[in-house]
Amino acid sequence: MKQTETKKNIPQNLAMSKCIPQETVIENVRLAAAYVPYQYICTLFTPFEALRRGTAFPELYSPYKGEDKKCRPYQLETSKKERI
Amino acid sequence: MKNEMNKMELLKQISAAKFMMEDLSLFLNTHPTDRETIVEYNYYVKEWRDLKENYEMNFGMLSDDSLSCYPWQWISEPWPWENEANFKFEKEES
Repeated sequence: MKQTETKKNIPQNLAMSKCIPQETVIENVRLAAAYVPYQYICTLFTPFEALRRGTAFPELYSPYKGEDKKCRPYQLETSKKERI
Repeated sequence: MKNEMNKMELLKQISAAKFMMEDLSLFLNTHPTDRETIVEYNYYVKEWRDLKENYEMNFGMLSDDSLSCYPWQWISEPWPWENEANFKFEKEES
């Protein structure tokens, strides 16, 4: 359990570093189009870590957080009550 | 037993090197002039080739373009979906 906690910290640390460009200006934007910041090469995971995590790029590592799931049954329950 | 461990360790290294190749090649598709990453990609291609050759010399065919000794080796390996054909990941590895 301890190790999952340290893993979760990685993307946050990276977001603060220079690895992820914090673009604020994108030219010629259109409505209803998605824009992705241009990726710069930064550090890489070791091959074993990359295989285990599903990406070679630490800034793209984004594991699913189990606790988000906990909100759902609660919201379903309250919406039911509201209907009654 | 030792041989079997060696085989699985090699298989794991081959998979890891191949994964690096795949992911770096995806990056290079959108960054074709990134020299540093091309060097990195080429490094893993060479490593993967060496590891694969090493495996095939000692443990048999890995893919349908592998060399075979006599008798035909393809059918003597465990199939990919069988437990014996797969390596396990330790929880924390670097």
